[in-house]
Amino acid sequence: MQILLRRFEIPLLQFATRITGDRERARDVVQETFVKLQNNGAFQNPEPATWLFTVCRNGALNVCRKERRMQYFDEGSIEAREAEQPMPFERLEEQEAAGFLLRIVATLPTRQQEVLQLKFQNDLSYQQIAEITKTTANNVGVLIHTALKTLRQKYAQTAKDFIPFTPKTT
Amino acid sequence: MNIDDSKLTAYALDELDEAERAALLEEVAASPEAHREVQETQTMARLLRKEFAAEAEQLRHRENTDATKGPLSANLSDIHDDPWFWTRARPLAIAAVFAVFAVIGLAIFGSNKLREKEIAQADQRSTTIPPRSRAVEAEVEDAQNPTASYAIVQRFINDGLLPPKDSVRIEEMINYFTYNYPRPKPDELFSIDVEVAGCPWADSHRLVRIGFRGREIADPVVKKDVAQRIDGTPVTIAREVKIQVEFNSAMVTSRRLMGYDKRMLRKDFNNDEIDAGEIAAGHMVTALYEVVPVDGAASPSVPPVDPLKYSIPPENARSNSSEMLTVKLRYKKPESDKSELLERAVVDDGKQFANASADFKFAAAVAEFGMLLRDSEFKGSGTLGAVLQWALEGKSEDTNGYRAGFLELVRKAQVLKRG
Repeated sequence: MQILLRRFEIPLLQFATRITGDRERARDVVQETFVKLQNNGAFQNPEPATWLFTVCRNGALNVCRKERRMQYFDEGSIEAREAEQPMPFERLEEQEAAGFLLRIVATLPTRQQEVLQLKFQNDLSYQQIAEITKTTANNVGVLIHTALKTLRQKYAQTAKDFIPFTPKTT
Repeated sequence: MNIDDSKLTAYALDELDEAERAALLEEVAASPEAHREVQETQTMARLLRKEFAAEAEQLRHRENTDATKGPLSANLSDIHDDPWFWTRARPLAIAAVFAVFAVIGLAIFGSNKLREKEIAQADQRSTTIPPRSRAVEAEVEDAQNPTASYAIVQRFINDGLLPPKDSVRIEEMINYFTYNYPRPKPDELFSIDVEVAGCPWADSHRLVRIGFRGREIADPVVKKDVAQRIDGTPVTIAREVKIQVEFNSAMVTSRRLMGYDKRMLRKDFNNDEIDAGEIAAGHMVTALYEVVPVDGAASPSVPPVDPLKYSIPPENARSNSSEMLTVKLRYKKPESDKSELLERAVVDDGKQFANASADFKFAAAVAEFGMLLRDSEFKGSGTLGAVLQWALEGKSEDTNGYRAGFLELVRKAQVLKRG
């Protein structure tokens, strides 16, 4: 149990934060997830990752629903999110620290964000991601493909404006 | 073939079953566009993994440094007992972390550009290597902070976790450490130090360590230790530095530049060029090659180059030479447009690993540690125990204590692997 907590606490927190858009709520969701894990004895599950992410995702979506924050499936809100989290690139330090690419990720539809995170942070297979997000492995493949394509395009665009630090000759 | 296909993405991410994979493999091999697509997808995947891991690190740090609460990983029963457990203040600790990273980045960033760049006859390039995309360039730029990977690996292991494979960058880890390379001769800007000895994780292979050291600046105004300078940029002593390593095909079957597992296409050529960009005063660059000598037994750990297809035509090859390789260093002085050349031919005298220098052993230990953490296909016969042994033998004076820190890290990794 401690091992699972240690292993999955941060990834789940990251995951729930992306869905709820709020770290405090995400923390509640993750807490709830681990309480359920303890109560259900699900930690004996040979594949705890799928279980944990599924429960965590349901919890996070419930929070969104309760608060009528239905933007999750609402395509129209993507622009809103984009406006909320622009990519100003004012400060180099900020980009470096916050992750140049993750700022672009934040502009993608939430559904693409979650599959990206499940795939590239948690190394889950298309099949596992499909179970968690209640879709087909095929659809996960399409989501990831679309997301990576958009990322590459936006990355190339913004890279033009992004001047990496190089030492000046003195 | 259609390159805008989620199948191709799945292929790049190794998500296909055997049959599908085999079918696509041929198509990809036949299509330079598809090949490039796969590479770019893998590059983007690597970047994403790295950034997600970094984000997790920041989050972990934020959680741990929260003043009002213990870590979430405390005994779970606390969660029920203590309603405050989950409500936390939001200190500005994360901002502090950002600042520290930024300062480290500024101090060291850019002075250690170990960048690989393909060179080859133009026809070979156009048929076998897709032109480098912007994304790949960016990814390579990203690799220039030489401490990034080591810091991430260190953080993970100290937190009791093995680092994500893709956060382990062997070339960055090797260049995190300083080595006892000779100072350049008075009339030269660089010293080139090359050592060849047995490869400790693959018996029949040789390991080549190439070290460069830039001249210190004598002027007291700028003589500050480069790494200590947080108020400005390192002093550049040379720009457009290109390190070219030419292998004698009569002596070497194939070779691998450590830390570039995923960018191995250059094995097709007998010539490597590492673009080191600008080199700062007193700065060091280390490159390690694993080499399969011609008389060595064929090993799956380094795929041999197809000799008929790519090797230099026999009349041009230095087939009579006993030299294993030639290191060429081209550079321009900051104020000059004239390109200068330093050249160094290297003969392999058959030295055993046991007789290698401390620096050599230590660099080999770091490289193998990285390969074991990555579970690289090239890791050979090495173990963490062996890494520890080599690093101990290579610990040397260790004036800054970095090597002792490495030993500690390997020991912790051993415990984690067992557990």
